[in-house]
Amino acid sequence: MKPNWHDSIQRYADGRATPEEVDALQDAMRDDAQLRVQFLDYVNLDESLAAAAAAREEVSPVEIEFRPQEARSFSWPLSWLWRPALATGLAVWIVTLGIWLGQFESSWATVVKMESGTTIVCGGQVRAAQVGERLRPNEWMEVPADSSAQITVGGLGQILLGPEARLGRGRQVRQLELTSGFIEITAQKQRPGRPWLIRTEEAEAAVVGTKFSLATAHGRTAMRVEEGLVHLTALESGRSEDVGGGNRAYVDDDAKPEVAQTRQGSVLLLTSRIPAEAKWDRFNQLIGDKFVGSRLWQLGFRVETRHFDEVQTQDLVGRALVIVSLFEYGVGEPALERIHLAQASVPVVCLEPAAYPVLKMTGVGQGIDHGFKGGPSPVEILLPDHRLAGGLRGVSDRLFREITSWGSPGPGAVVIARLPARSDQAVLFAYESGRALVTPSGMPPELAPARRVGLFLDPFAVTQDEKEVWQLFEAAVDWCVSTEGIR
Amino acid sequence: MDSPGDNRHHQFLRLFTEHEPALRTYVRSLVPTRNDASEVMQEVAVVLWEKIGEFDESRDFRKWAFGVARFQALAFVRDRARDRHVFDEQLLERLAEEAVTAEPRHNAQRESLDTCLKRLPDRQRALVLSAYAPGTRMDQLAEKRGQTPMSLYKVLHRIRQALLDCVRREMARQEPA
Repeated sequence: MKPNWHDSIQRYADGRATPEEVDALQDAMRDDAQLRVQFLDYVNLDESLAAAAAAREEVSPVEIEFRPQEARSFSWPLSWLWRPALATGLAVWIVTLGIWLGQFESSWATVVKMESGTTIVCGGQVRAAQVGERLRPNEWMEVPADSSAQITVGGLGQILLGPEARLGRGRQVRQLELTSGFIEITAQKQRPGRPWLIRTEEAEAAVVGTKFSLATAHGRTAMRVEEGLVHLTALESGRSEDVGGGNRAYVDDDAKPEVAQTRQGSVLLLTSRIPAEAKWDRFNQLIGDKFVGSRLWQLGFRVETRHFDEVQTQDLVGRALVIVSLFEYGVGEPALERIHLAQASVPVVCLEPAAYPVLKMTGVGQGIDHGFKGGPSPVEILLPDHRLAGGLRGVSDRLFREITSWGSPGPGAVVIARLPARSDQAVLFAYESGRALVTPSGMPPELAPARRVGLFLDPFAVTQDEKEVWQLFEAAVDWCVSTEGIR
Repeated sequence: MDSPGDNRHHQFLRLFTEHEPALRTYVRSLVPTRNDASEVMQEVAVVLWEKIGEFDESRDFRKWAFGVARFQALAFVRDRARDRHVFDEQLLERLAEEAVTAEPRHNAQRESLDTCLKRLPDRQRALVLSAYAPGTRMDQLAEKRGQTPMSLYKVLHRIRQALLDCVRREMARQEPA
């Protein structure tokens, strides 16, 4: 019987076609130009209907719990959950072989796992990396922004290469150079007096036997140590610090490494799959989510992204921090309630004022307890010496360029910045762990189970890469994950 | 006064917004599902924004953007091909070429769709728009309508076929005699 190609096309586009149907459709389309026209027209109809549905207000919303139909978005962070399909036995064999091969000068590492886009660069030559490939001394491994790879280095251990990583062998024996991007190292115990050295432009980390991440971007090296000890030296000043598990360190000038205690774990970044309606906002929102993710790895965090429609309670386990990014009203609130984020003992930086009520950071009144307005606005820094002020003082007109937003937190919060002369409209505020949140009258009081920060990032300012915006964002992240001063 | 960065930003957004529907359809023709297309479009937007400084204004933005979209979409499919059964690269390359030449036809189809949606019976129109509303789960929509997912898909197939026929008739009617 002749297949109904129109049916097959629709099933393929709905993601419901069987492998046999895909093969049959593919064979037919290869030889039939008219069928390809049908396919392209159908795809165009499918996209146009999606656009029309999003634009129509007459559509009565279906009360649903959102979920992804297919694979998750934002491929690099999710890809840390290595595909189980990768044959474990093969990986073990490759690792063992890699360690053995690492004893020889002919190679400094072996590629164990990788995603598309990972390349090996030697001089001006670039080629795609292959699993099992051995890297020669003059070869560099490069990972693009949305990908990841894993290598084994003989005598050192495993290295996970994250966004924008460029890693090669250093000039000395037992030395690696990271010229950009993020890596995470799980090192085996090192022999006394012969540590491996990981060098960036700003710093050198001597590995004693530990698990840590290292990131370098924009003239700063960030390191987060999960276990063990790393001896970190600022190259310009020559000053060093021993950085133990549960600490992070930054090197970005000629001072000694700045070390602080920090929560351990990765960052969960919650983003919206459903874009804001206005097209420009939508573009800026997409870019904003990307930039937020990049800032986080540049601070040395492993980042995992989940959409609001897919996040589960267990996604909160093992997190140093949760970031709630922007969403349209009605998109993020059900997810935050579903995972009980308000009650979770993990710090939260909330970038979306519509989430403040769900997190009990403000009351529920839109336009009363939190709100938005179009257009730019100056911001008054009330507590310039607070860590959350990020070094800003006075009045800034760089934070809100196109959209202004605010929240009216309860008395348990500290307000660091507000709209000028509006004591009830805070734009940066925080609840210390254990401080009273906002609960409806008649309900028992609730205390913040961990630090909470409310900070709106105007997507337009984010897209413009405003320095002051990122100062505040980084200060918010750093304060939230800090374990110093927690009561 | 706007800074050069502002001008660049606004110029880029104007161009991106103007070409986004066509880019999206193009990407959609190369990846299996709408969610896949959304993922790829996100990457396309970021890459275009990051490389806008290298873009020569005398060149055709659309052509440049389609080139980026093609690369991103094919890379996405290559990456996913390990997990799912998708079209092979040879067919995708051909579809990529033909999707570019089909763009004027697709623009016209998009314009005709509104008319055709209005011609649908109210219940069918409400159903198809509900099915395409952001975040809709077909199993829940089917349950709400007292149907099995399979029968809901069948109804949708018929509506989409009717819309496609209508769009083609509309386009034929608008063609100069």
